[in-house]
Amino acid sequence: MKLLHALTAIFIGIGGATTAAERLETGGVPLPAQAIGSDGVLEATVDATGDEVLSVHTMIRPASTNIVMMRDRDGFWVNWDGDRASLIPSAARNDNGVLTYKIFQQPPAGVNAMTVTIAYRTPEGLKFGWFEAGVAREGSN
Amino acid sequence: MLFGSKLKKYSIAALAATGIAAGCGGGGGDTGSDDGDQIEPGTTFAGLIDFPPLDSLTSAEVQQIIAQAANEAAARGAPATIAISDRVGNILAVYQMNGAPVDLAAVAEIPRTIDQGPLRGTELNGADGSGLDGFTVPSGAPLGAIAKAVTGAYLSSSGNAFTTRTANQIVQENFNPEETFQAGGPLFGVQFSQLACSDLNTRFESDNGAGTVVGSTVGPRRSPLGLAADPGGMPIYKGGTMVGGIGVISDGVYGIDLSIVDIDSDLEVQDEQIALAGITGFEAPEEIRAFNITVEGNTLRYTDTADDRDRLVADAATAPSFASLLGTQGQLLDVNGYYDVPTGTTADVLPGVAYGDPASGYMPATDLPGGSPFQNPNAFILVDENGAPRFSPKSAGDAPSGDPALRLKRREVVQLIDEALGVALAGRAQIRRPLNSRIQVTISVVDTNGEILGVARTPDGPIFGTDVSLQKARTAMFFSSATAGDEMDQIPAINSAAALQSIGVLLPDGLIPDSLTNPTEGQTLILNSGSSYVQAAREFIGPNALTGETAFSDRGNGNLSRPFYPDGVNERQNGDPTPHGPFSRPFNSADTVQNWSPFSTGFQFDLVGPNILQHVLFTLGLTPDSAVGCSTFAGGNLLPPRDALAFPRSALANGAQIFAGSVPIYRNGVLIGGLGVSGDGIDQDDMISSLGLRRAGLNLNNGLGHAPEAIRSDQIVPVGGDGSRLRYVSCPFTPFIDSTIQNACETL
Repeated sequence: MKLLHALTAIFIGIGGATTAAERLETGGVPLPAQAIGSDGVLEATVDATGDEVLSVHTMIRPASTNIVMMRDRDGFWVNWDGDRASLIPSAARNDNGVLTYKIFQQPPAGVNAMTVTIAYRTPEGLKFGWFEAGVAREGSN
Repeated sequence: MLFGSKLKKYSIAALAATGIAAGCGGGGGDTGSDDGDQIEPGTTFAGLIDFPPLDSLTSAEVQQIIAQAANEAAARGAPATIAISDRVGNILAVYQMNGAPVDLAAVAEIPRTIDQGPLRGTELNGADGSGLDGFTVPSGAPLGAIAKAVTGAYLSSSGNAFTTRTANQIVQENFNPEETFQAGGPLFGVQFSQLACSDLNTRFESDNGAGTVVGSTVGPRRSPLGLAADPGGMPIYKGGTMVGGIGVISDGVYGIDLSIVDIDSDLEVQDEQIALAGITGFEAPEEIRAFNITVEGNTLRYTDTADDRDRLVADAATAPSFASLLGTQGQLLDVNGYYDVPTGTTADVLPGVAYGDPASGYMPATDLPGGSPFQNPNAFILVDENGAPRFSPKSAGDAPSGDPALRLKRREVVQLIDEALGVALAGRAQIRRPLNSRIQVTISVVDTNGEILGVARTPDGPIFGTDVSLQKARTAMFFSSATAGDEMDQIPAINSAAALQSIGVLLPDGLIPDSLTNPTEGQTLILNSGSSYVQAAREFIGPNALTGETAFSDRGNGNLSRPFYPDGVNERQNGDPTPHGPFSRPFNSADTVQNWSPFSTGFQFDLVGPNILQHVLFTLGLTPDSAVGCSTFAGGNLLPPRDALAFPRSALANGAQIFAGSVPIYRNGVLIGGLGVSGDGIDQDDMISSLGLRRAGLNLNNGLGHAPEAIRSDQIVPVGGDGSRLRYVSCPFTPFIDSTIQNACETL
């Protein structure tokens, strides 16, 4: 039994957990969190219309670590040293300016929760955003 | 037993800074532990010491402890909520007896009447509305019990057994409490560590805003209310090995004992007595209990009893089995984020994990498949559930003063940690027994974004120092940085439910129900703006404060965070009040809502108060959890990331810490990071961080080292401070086991 007691009638809501239609910014922008379902797939969609996308980039930071990994085009993860110049291109589907980042089919072994950063490079500079993602607990929404 | 000794050899050119006098305590005619490029023999240690034995509580033992505690509670007519933790903070059981008070009130100073449980009608001290003072958490008794259990476990080790009564003694405005004109408690501010928003401490489970997500299986865990200073939390030992903690709430109060010169009444001491009964057969070795340990001439407190057993009213040997209690006299409680009760049976009582086993989240670095990154063979590291390092040394990703070339390199991080380990293990512990034990601590290094570049520790450092060393490293770095004032200026005041909602803390109908005394009007937090602290700092220490012109160690920052300046000077000779530090709340303001208390320290609390509230609401099942990284919220960040691509969290991502033990790191006069140490006495922590940095600089000989003397905080004489300057580091006298050096930090 959860500790609701007298407060069970009070409902708290939060915005929908989707990254659709979000736009990335050069200074970075926090994006809505996501729960990773039982299929293990994690994708993120952003609106890049009007931007000339030169390359896309995906990084993850497993929760409570100082490890940062970046995804290459083939879906392999390699350590990132934090230097923008060393970012390697990842992959995303571009549908008329809407980018869908394929982050992973399954989270890396042992990584249940993480911070995901998605970015794309434009002639004006790197635009990026980040969000929290975690493996949904069995039986939860 | 300690064995082996190998002095490290140096072949280093002298730094230009050699011979610079430091604002450092100590005396004597020697030249300190470092004379030019010569490291005094006996002031570093790289031999091998014993590691703590691998041992842990079984599920049956956890049940026995709960049954013994419940037996005492029943005999006292004081039904209680009882939580058990292992050494790394895994919650093994939360048991609530029938009739136990379910709500929790955090109280400290101003009278408040409580209207439930055994203390009904009692006028309590506290509840002035500042910070957590007087804050009521509906159904919050399990949170208080968990915080106490974690505190009992985290403050203790194989060399010291501290209780929450010990914590109570060392976090107040004077040490000892009520002894005016004595400096504040040595661990002043530690109560706001192990926070739910910490990016270092792990989560059993969480709700990130998109649903409940799986957490980590390893420690160290967070604590729902930080560390507790309310008696009723005790460490658990098994054959002399530190294996966990017990926490008890039977009075519905998560408070503090403002007077330690008296003996608490039976009613006031019942939480502690119930905990004490619980650990029958699992007591700490007597030699290491707090009452055998002195700090600054004060003997620490363990319990409010003569011999730890004389006030018990029940015989633990007659305690019924836990199985017979379950469902008849109480039940196991599911606590969001901490503990699950899938069956409601004894099967839900968990065994602990053995500290030092990779499953605990800590292990010897030498056990890594590729070998330890450190030279010191005693280094312990934090690992994930696969035994992989969580905070392996790495290069920074920042650009100090706009120049990426200045950033800390991996080999420098390794050197900093190795040197600090060497100083620690050569030093004589303040808080450990037997006498002449080696110091045991945790060491953290950060860059100028607050990114964690490395964490390592000695084998038996108290667990609390893991998170605290990181807080200290970040705090020294943050307050020394050029943008600190500008960043703090952006933090709004929080004085209403609407203000909380504006940053994304969602409240039930805009209110937090106060089921104890104010069920209809609700309650909120009252937090000052960041700009008010900046303004106060600039009035107190100069118009350029917090612009990077001064290097603030946590010793100096701690001076500014005390309710009296100079620290511990309650009033001037003519009776006028002394000023409070600009990062502290005042002590005796006519506007009591503004007053300092251990539940409302000032900037330290105001930065994380909304995170604590958000997390409490999460535990109640009302909102998503606090974000990973303190001062971060769905609706906006109190302290935005400095470079979100490199580090998407605030520079104080596990909160600020305001007691000594850290220094900012510079390269040729440019701030490049922070080094924090925690786990033993604060002078010891100061010495380890400051000598560790100095020696890394000597060894690397590339410009890395301390801030130039001219910009250190000990050059500042605050206005209104009666001529008393801030401090930078303060090292202990005769600090080394194998050296007679008196002034260890003479040559910083």
